[in-house]
Amino acid sequence: MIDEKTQPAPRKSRDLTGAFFLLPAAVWILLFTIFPLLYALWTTFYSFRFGQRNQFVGLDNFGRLFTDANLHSALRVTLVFVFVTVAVEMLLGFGFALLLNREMRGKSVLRAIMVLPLFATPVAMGYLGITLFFETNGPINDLIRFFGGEGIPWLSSPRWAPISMMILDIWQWTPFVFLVSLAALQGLPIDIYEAARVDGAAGWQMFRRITLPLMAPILWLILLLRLIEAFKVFDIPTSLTSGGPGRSTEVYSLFTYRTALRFFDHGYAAAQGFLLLFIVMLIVSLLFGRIRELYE
Amino acid sequence: MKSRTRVTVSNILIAGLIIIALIWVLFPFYWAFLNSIKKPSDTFTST
Repeated sequence: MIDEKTQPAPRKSRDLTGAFFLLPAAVWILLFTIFPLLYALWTTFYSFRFGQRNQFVGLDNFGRLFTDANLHSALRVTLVFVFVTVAVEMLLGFGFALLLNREMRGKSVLRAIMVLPLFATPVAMGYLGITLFFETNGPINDLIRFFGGEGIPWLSSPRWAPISMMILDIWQWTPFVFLVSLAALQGLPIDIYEAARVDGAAGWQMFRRITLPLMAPILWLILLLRLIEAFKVFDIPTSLTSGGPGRSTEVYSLFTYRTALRFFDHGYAAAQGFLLLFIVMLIVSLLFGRIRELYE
Repeated sequence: MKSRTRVTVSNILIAGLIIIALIWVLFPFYWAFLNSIKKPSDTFTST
C-alpha cells in the first residue's frame, strides 16, 4: 500500500511552486530593468521640443551619435580619464596594500586612515578641489613655488584641468583598490610562501611567482568594477570645473546630462545612454571572459 | 652586517613611502577642516 503523504507532489504543482518563488525577482527585473530600458529605447525614436515629445524620427538620434563632434570630444575625454585613473588607482592601491600587508606597529590605524577618502562625498571633494588647485594662493601651487617652480594653471588651462580632475578621482578611489586587494592578500595561504622560502625563493620571486598569480582573479575583478564606475563619472568634473575650460573636462555623463536637462533633448540623450551602455558592456564582456578563464 | 644595513635601508624606505601615502590621504581633510573654520571671504586669500 502506498502512503499518499510520502508521494512527491505532482509535477505541475512543483513547477508552479518554483514559478511562485521566482515571481518577486521576475517582477523586480521587469519593473526596474526591462521597463526603463524599453522606455528609453522608445524615447530614442522621438525628437523633443521644450521637453515635450514632438515627432517620430526613427533612428535619427542614433545617426547623430556618429556626426556630433561634441559627443566625440566627451567620449575622448572620458576614455582618457578612465584609462589613466583606473591604471594609476590599480597600481597605487595594490602598492599600498602590499606595503601595509606586513607586521608593523599601528597597522590597523594606518589601514583605517588609508580608506578614509572612500567616505568623502565626491561633490564636496570637487568643491574642495577648487580651493586646493586655486592658482593664486592654493596650497599645491604654494608648495610648487616654495620649491622654486612656477604656479600651474590647474583649473584654467585645458591641458591641466583634466589632470586636476584625475588627481581628485585617484585620491578618492585608490582606497577601494587598496581595501579589496588587502583583504585578498590576507586570504592568501601562508604555507605556499613557507614552502617557497624553504626552496630558497627570494622576495621578488615570491611576488612574481606566487602573489601575482594568486591575486590575478581578484585584481581583474577590481579592474572591472573600477572601469564600470569610472565610465559613469559625473560629480567630480561637474563640481570641480563644470566641464571646462572649453570642453576639456566635459565627460560623457555630464554631456548626456546637459543634453537631457539643459537642452531637453531627451531622445538624443537616451541614444547617448545606449552608446555608453554598449561600450561598457563590450569592455565588461571582454573582462568577464578573462576572469572566467582565471577562475577555471 | 651587510644584511642588517639592507634591512635598515628597506625599513627607512617603507617608512618614507608610508609617510608620503599618509600626507597624500590626509592633506585634503586637513585643508577641508581649515576651510571650515574660515570665513567664506577668506577661503581664497592667503593666510
